[in-house]
Amino acid sequence: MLTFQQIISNLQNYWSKKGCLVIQSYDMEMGAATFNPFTSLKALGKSPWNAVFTQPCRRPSDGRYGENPNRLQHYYQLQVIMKPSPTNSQDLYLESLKEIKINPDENDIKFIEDDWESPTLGASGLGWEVQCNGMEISQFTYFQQVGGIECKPVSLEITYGLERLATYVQKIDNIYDIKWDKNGTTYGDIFLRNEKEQSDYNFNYASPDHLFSSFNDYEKTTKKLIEKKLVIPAYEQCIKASHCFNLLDSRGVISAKERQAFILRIRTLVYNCCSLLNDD
Amino acid sequence: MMTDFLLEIYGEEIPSWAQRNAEKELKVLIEEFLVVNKIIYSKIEVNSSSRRVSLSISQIKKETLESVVHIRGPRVDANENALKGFLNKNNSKFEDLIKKKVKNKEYLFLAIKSPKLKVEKTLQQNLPIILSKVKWKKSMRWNNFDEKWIRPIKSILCIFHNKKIVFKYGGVTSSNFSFGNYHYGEKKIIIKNTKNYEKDLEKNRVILSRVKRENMISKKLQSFCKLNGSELIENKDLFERVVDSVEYPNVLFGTFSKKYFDLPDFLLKSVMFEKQDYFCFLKNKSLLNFFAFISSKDIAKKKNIIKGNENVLKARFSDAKFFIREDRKKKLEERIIDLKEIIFFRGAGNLYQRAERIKKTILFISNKMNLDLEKFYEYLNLSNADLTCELVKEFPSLQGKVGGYYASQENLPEEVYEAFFSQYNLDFPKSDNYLSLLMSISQKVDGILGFFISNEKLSGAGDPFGVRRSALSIIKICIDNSLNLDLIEIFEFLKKKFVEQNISLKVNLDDVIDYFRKRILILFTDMGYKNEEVQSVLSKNKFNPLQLFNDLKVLKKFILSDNGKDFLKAIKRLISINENSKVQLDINVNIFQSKEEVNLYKCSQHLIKYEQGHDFLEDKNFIKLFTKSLNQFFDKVKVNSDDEKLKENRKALISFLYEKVNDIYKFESLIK
Repeated sequence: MLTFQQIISNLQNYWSKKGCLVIQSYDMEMGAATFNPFTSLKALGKSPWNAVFTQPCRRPSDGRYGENPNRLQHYYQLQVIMKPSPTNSQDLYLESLKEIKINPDENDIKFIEDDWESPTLGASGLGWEVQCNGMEISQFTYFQQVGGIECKPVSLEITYGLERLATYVQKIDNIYDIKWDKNGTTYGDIFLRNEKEQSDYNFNYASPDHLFSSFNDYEKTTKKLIEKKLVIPAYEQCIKASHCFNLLDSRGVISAKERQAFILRIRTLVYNCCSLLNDD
Repeated sequence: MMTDFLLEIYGEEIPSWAQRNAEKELKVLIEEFLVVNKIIYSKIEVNSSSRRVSLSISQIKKETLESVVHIRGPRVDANENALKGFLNKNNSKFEDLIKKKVKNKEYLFLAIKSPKLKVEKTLQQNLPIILSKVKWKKSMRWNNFDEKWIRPIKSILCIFHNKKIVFKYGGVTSSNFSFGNYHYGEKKIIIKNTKNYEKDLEKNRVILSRVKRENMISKKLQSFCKLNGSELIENKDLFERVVDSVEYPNVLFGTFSKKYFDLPDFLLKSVMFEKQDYFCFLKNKSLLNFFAFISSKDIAKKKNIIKGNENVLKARFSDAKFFIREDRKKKLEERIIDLKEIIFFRGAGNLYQRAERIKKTILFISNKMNLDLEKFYEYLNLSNADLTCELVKEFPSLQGKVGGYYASQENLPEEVYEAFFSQYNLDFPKSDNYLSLLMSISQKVDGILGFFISNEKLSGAGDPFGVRRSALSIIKICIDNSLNLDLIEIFEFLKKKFVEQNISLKVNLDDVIDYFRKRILILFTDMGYKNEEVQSVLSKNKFNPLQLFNDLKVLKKFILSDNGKDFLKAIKRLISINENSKVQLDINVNIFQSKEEVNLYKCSQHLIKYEQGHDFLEDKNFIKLFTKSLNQFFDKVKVNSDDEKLKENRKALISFLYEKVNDIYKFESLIK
């Protein structure tokens, strides 16, 4: 049986053979690997870019105190980004599944319409969620726009939800039972306590005052950095602001009306970063 | 019939809505092209599946028709230079000219023959343009190509009289081959004869015809039902989605643990229908713990596929359980305060205010109808508290139902939870739960006015905010349940409530009611009534759907009767005279000169009595009397009397009558 770490290394090896750089995770809290500058910022401009990396993601509102077998507030995505999108991208993807012992010939693989849009990133793309026997195992997206700017060439983003994939590969029902390695260490051994405590933090103890003021600080700093044309640090501040927003959301202190306003504020910052990048 | 032209665009998975869209678009564009280019053909057929759109034309000619174009030159009497210029420009000689009259003046014309063109060549030049003109709700680019399509194109098959036509689109060069089912090895198929195209595909597990795919699925579902005495829960949207989700539909069956039956049925169904695209079944009126799904594969190891789907469903159900557990920690009553944080429509306040208005509207209507709903007053502002629940965030389509479910769990009165549960339903079965009916009407009326306040434009296509469906639903609820309600009164009341909440309204209620008039016109004409018949019952100062419907039914019968025919003839005289006599004067009864005038005046006073149009038409004796009085008046009385005073008085009588008749029915639209 493939362990969690084997799944990661097999996929990385496979995509590395297909010409992708193997990059390490970005050292910041983010809601999805799309936020990683090696996805979002690299999707802009003309130069080719092919990379694969894992990205830890945090979605505070998805915390379930470790009680739900398939929902986590912290999880891993394996991200593949290829620019321009290969003309045989679906074939490449299906072949990658074989590397983790999912034989596309023996399973019901479906590409179900799922167009993607990130209001905070001002990004959108068309594609599918890939289902294996009814379970979503990947997202498959052709980027059309990032930071309000048209992508040309178009990038392909493939995102594997590693935990879902692992439960499938290891034929188990509970994420916490995932075998991480051959010595019997489970996902639960590593993350169960983290899920319990972080859920409590996300829902009950994250300080709204602190988060509101941090958000404002990040916003100010971004603007300053944009003036200095320091795109990457400026963009990183956007990522931080976005995480603050997600935490405020899980604390339930943002009304629907404010929500829209916050999203717009982040998007404006991202737009400014991206347009600077596009000018280069 | 022989297929002489075949075009197939093959590529990555096309969403089901887009397949139907592409079929329509492509057909229209090709038809247009054939007409403009004078290409003779017999029939166009379009098909689509999850990975391809194909179009075939039978008996298409190889050459375009010869055509003659007439180019207008100078007038016959124009000077020589003008003529020379015209001939030079068109590279023609004097002998080629013909004379033709245009608006009584004679001009010189050149008849230029356009030669027959090779259709093959015309197609080759135009197909890339045609493909680029296909409109999608959204489309995409891929790789570094400029062209757009719904998803990346992998190959284009294009054959004309069994010869390939080569052109380029989206980075692909067209060819004479296609591909078999992607999930069964995507075998390359060379199309040697277009006649065999569909069969060739079928051999490679591609069912091109939607109807065939539908039949394959229906058959399997039916035989399952037969086997275990169950019935399929119909779901048209789901069926349409899954039929187009694969190129070769295989129906497989799975099961789930009965322990999930402690979740409400509507939730189980919603998970299966909306989240998983599964079919579900009823046995003895209860949900069966089986489901059916469409698989792209039918293989020996299908156990694996079924088990996988069963696991996903289990996870979904346990998620739903989690949401319910979390939601139940807070009672509906404790939730209403959170509604203040959620905006309704932009500029139309928050959901807390909306709940307050709905409550008051329900009471307003119930007082009008002399119903005793006061006893439910305390619960009514909970009607949309479920919008703060996790379960509704996860399943937005279940709003209302979730509130109803939680209300029942909190032991609220049955009438109340039923009303919560069904308030958003568009199809409302006849009900004797008046709270339920009134809540649904009030909620929808409030939604519509909120929409108009936020100034959202109503576009012709689609109904994204559900305004159209809500309006129609209100009308139907009133008619089906015999609720005698004037919607204008309700809207006026509601408008005041908005104002009391300091929500500024720039809405003209006439616009809102006009919107309803349009909806009811469509509804009634769909039921078989004529446009002019409906127009004649739509009065300006009332909008009571039930009354309109009753008036219409009686009118329809009336105009076919002898009495009705006579009456309309008389009314026609009234209308035509009135057109020249419109005055706004008081009638002076003291100067009437004849009994005809007196009789007609008596009729006019009698007319005021009728509150509803059908009462008037059903009063046969009066109709006869009125008809007679009208005819006698117009036969014997000279309206345009030489005496100015008498003339004015008669015109005033006619105007008054006309107005009163018009209040009841607008016969004008029937007569014109």
